[in-house]
Amino acid sequence: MVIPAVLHGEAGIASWPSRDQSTIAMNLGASVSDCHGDDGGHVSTAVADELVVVRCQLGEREAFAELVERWHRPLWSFVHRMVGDLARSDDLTQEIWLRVVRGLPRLAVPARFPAWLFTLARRVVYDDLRQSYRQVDTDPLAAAEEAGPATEPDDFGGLLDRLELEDALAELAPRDREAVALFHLADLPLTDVAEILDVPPGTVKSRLHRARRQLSTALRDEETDR
Amino acid sequence: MNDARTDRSAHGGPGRSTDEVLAILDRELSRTDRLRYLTVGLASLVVTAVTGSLWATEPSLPFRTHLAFAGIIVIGTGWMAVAAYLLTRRRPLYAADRVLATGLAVVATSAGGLATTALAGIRGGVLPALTAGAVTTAFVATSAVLHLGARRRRDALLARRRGLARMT
Repeated sequence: MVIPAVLHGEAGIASWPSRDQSTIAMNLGASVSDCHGDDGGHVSTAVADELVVVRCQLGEREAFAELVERWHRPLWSFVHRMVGDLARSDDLTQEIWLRVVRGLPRLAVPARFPAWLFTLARRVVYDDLRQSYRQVDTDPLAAAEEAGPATEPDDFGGLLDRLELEDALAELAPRDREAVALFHLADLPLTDVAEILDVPPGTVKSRLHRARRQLSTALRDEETDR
Repeated sequence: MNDARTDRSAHGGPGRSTDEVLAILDRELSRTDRLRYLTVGLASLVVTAVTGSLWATEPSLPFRTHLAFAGIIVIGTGWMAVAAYLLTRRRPLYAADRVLATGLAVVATSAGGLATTALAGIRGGVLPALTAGAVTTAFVATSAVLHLGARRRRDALLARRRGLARMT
């Protein structure tokens, strides 16, 4: 049986949208509440993001270019983090964009776009994983956890295996990796992550805490091995 | 293709650039498609209403004509349903498009309704004309309410855009 790519997680560090490896590593040592503070930069980014969404909802074609420019990479990174396979990530990301274009006029609150987008993405990813697991009639993420880590990286895995943090992330349980991907890699606020994952913020915090502890241990082990 | 994939694997990014994604979305965002579906829907509505009015006010028709009118009404209703599905699910209308679409709907239902009512009055007398007039009023009122809602939504978005633009 081919292990679903949810466990691969071989997206390159270079694909991370807004934070480099060192920033993420630093954040791994911080508490959740320390991250995504209401600093001016974050607020102005949120305003600019909402403005683009509002322009799209008005039907401005140019705004869609800005919307795709802003979110394509974070979206692809999240999908790739979850499904692993490059071609599938591209196809699923395209499918998500089609749904975005079709559903955007019905989005009531433009400021909620990031949460809406990643909820949509998560649904598409789940549907894809569910198809992969249709012989096993169970929750795809739970099945992925039971299946254990992938043993056969794809053709490009070798290139990326050198990245320690990348390896450590791939070892995380899918639910924890999902939280890390949304909070640290897609740079979403905790409340948005909780909304997307459909769990209370406290649950997200505990998943992030568990993930950070596991990542810190993994990175320390790598240091010791050198 | 393989080269592209190899290049992509080296930088670890998406296989499709934003330009490629936009090219794929271009058809989804086509205003021409939306206007085409809208025209089909409104034309079907008018044809169905006029045919229904003719059918209802003609005292004696051969069986074949009954069948033909029924066929036209079924086909017209089908096209209206297809247009409604496409415009709500496949090519949804954005705020500016919706104002235009509902404005056209007001014009089309008014023109079609007046024609239907006049036809009913000339051919059938007062009662059919009143019935057609009531149906027309209902259609025009619905279109007008949708148009007002579309304008409110667009104005709210425009106000929000102005507010956000001031904040950036």
